[in-house]
Amino acid sequence: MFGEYLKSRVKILMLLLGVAAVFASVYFLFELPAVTVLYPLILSLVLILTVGIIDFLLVLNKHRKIQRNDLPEPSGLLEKDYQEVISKLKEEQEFYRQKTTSDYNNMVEYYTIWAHQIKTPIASMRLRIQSEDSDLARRLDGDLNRIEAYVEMVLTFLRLDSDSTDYVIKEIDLDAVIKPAIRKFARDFISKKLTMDFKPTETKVLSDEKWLSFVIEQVLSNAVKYTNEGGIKVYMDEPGILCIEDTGIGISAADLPRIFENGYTGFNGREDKRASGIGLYLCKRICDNLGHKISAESEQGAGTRILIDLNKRDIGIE
Amino acid sequence: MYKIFIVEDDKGIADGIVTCLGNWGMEGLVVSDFMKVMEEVDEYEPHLIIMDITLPYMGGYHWCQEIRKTSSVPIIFISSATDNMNIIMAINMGADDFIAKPFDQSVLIAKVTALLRRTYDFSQASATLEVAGAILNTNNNTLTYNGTEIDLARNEYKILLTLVQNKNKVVSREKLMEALWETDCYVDENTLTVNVGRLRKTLEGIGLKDLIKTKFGVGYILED
Repeated sequence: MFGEYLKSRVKILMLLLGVAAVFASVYFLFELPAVTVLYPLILSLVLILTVGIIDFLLVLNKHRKIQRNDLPEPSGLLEKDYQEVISKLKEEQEFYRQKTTSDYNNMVEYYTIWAHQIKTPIASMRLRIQSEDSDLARRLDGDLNRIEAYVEMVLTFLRLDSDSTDYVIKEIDLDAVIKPAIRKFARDFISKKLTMDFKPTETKVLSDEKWLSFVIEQVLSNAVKYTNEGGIKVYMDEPGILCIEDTGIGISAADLPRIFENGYTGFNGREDKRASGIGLYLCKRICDNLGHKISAESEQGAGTRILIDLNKRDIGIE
Repeated sequence: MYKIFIVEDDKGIADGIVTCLGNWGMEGLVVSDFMKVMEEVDEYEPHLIIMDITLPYMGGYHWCQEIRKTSSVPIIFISSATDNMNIIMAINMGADDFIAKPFDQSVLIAKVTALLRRTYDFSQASATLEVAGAILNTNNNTLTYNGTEIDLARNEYKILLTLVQNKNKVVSREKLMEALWETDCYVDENTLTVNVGRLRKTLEGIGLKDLIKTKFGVGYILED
């Protein structure tokens, strides 16, 4: 700090030094006694030092003020120019910040309304389709399920990082979350002739019911989507670790470490053009927010096992 | 017969609910004038009201408050806005339950019947369904025929119930399996066959032989 100050004052110091040298050499040439040089020199030094310290303190004060983002009164033309440029930039930045925030809020608002709007026709179609008993109705109901899941995903995506998002962490009955999730895929299981082996976990976990059920549904949906024969098992062997295991096509070793990344579709996803690579990413983010851990094990061609570690961890509950 | 009044502006949903209630022996009426909800409620005297939150002219909250001034009829809200605020709001306005759109028929029926059971006399006629002279009681899972009452096992009851609700129609094996999945019983084809076999034996035990007929390659049918 002090070094930098000296550097900024180097010109004036050199000038003073030069002046002193001129006086010293002239006195020397006129052969005046040394004391006539030294005495005024010392007096001048004291003066320079005093002024220097005051100047330094003033600069220090200004420096600190600026560091606190608080512009001091400009002294001099250049400082005034700089400050004008800065305040103009600030205004501009504030304008864009506000614009971005309001654009973003508008967008979120619209998507939220849209999601609610689309749920009415979905509800209407579901009621009608469910009173039909035919292969066509079953297929349409499956498609409708998918549409609903995508809508849910949009809402989840929007809510994930929103300030107004509510996480209600409390003790919940895990089976009461798993069962409705399985029920949602009943038609898919039946039409694909997949078996469902659910061992009730009889466990209470600390989590948010809505968000956790989104995660479980997402994992189940993947399991059903990528399994063509055999079935899916849901169980808890180790305390607190929920396993969802399928006998599906599996995930290649190269893709496995990246499946929770945003937009990563891997080989399976590229085969299946509908994959957005966002489902598991959302799961991971939600698990992070809830203090759970999600991981995957897989063998290509043999199946995949998703593990959700629901054990209590310090996540700063209020 | 229980009368249910439906205040919903989406015709598809409203009609769907009426059909669905009809399958369960309940009568549904859809509001015709959204300005005169109160008058229509007074006239119809329903046992229960199903109400959407977003409605033309006046919202569901408004009508709920109006109805509450004169009546304590059970009200179920249906809405796609499922955040906690809306649910709390609905309950505060005097609603008894809340269903999120889109919902399954089974969820709707479960909530409606639960609320009716809590509010009215338990043993009303609509809790029973009749087929070929046999009475299926949906309150205690029993079947009565010629004065003999038998308890049905959970899966047997669910299969029979589904067949009775669709009597004189062929019910596919898939539909029966779905019905069982709804009760968290994850049956496959073989288990279903076993269950139907067991149900047939039970029915035979009280003299209802061949009540359930097999339509080969499709499913089963129960004729009156």
